[in-house]
Amino acid sequence: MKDLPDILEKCKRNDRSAQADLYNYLAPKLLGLCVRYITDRDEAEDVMQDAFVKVFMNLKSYKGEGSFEGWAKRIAVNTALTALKKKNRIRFERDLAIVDNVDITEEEQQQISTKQLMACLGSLPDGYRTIINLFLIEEFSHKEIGEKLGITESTSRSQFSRAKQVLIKLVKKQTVDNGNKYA
Amino acid sequence: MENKEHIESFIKQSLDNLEVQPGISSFEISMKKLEAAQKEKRKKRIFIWFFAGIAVLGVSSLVLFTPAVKTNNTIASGVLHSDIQKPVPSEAPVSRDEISLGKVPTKESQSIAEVNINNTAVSVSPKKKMGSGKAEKAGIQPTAASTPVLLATNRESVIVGIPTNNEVSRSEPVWISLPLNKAISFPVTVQNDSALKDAGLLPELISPKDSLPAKKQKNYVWYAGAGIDPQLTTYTIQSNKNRDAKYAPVFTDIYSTNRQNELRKVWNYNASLKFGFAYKRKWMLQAAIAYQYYQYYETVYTVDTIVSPGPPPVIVTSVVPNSNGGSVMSFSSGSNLVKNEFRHMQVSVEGSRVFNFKSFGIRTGAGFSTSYLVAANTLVVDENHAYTYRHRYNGAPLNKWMFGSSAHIGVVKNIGNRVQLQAGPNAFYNLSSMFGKKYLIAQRPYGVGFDLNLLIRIN
Repeated sequence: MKDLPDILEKCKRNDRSAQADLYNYLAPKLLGLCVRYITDRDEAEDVMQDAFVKVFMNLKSYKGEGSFEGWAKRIAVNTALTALKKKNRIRFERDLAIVDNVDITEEEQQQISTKQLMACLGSLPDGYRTIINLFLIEEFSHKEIGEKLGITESTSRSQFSRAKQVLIKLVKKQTVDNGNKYA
Repeated sequence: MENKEHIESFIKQSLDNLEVQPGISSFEISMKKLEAAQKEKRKKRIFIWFFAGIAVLGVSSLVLFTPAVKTNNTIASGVLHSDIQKPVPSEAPVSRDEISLGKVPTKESQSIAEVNINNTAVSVSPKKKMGSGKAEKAGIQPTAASTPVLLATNRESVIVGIPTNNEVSRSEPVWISLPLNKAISFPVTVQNDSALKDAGLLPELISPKDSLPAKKQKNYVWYAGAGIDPQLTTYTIQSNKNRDAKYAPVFTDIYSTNRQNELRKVWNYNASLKFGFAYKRKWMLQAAIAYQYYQYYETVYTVDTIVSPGPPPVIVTSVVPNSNGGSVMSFSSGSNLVKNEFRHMQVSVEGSRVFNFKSFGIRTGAGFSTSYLVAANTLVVDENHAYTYRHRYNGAPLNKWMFGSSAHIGVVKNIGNRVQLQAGPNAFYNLSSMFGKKYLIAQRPYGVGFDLNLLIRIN
């Protein structure tokens, strides 16, 4: 976005048109992030709106260090986590049975669309999905994830390992279904 | 391993920059939320400044209106001359005030009674804290450390106060009354009260407290302060005659029974600023501006509807015949706890009668309050289920204004001249329902609380 500093300055002064510009630029990205955490579209949109409120309310605390988009995304991640925690939806399995290591080929990867991958991610339990998001996409360390979710680093690590396996399994199943469909 | 890393980067690449277009009205909703948040922030700020202002006002009024205990620390350059031979004129005009603590002697009174204690110092090294008129406890020893000060005279004696040293409270200097018509040789060895009396040097030991004239009590006393009042609340629930007809069977059969049996208990918290006045210390009228916060959790059942015959439901909430001869059953298939919150600003007035006893008072009276609903967070709207009895608050029209009554009894304790502490239980009943007139139920909170108020006299 070209005039971002200018828009941010105007937003700080509560300029409605600047807020609309910022919203139009940022909303699809933040909603894309929210739906990764919260599968229900309406709920995700609600969280995205709350994140926007926080962004606008705390604009003065953004000092221009680092990218603005990254800063806003961090707010959105925290808002999504708060929403999940509020409903006590982040739960982890205690009994971690050993999961078979399932591999996926590059061909299979090419066969699956983003939408299908999202569907696979969405069908994971909230806890798994959250860890996948935080570790793989947001690139938080397991220590940071542990702090955010109130679990130990090793729990985060083991849960991620299991979550990833389950996700790969789902992706693989999806590619098989795709193959059958077009056969 | 390599494959797994590939998988990870594949997921990241696919989903990292995922963009989803929000709904058309999303921006408007966001702006509404933003406005609400800004309003809330503004309110909080006003509230904080208001409290801070009141606190500053309270502290400054306490400082300004508290009468300073004046001690005469003007040391008369260490020398007070006295012509002992000079007769004391009987007409010497000496008022009681002159004997009071800290009163600077007038020229006239100084000339009447000048005690020559030139180059003589009497000081005290008390071993214990000295009480008024209890110099005997003090272990008075003559030293040359501090200088006596002429504090006041009367016709018979000159009162000399010994300025305090570090060990003596400034408000309680030692008082020695020296007779004028007797020769006094210095230095004076002061051993104790009886030694002074034996020497005829201490006809009377005047206590500063005793010498103060009694203050006339004011008829009207104004107070300002703050209080807290945690209350345990429950509700009366009554059906409303104007309720929507479609809810009628549900209300009668299920809802009322369930809700009335529930008798939910809720804690609500009040923080208030108090203003008031007392007349002749017997009658009190107090007004308060309070911020109220209710919070409680409600079990919300997920209600599904099936058309019979179907699987056996867990908890049947309603059975309504349908046109096909069967029936539609609503049943609960699960539950979770949902938080409800109500925030009110309340203005109240209460009148009390105070029965004063020796060291405390009993305050009893009644009051009236008006509450304004500032914010509420009730259950989420779900109008699809007309018969979901637990979704009763859905879209419920909440009353913005509520009126209530209260009665209280408690202890009043004055701490010093300025501070009053009030504590005691209260009972309250809301005269109006939490919900609007057309809503199917009228829900009136009532309960008991405990007042704790700290007031400061401002006149």
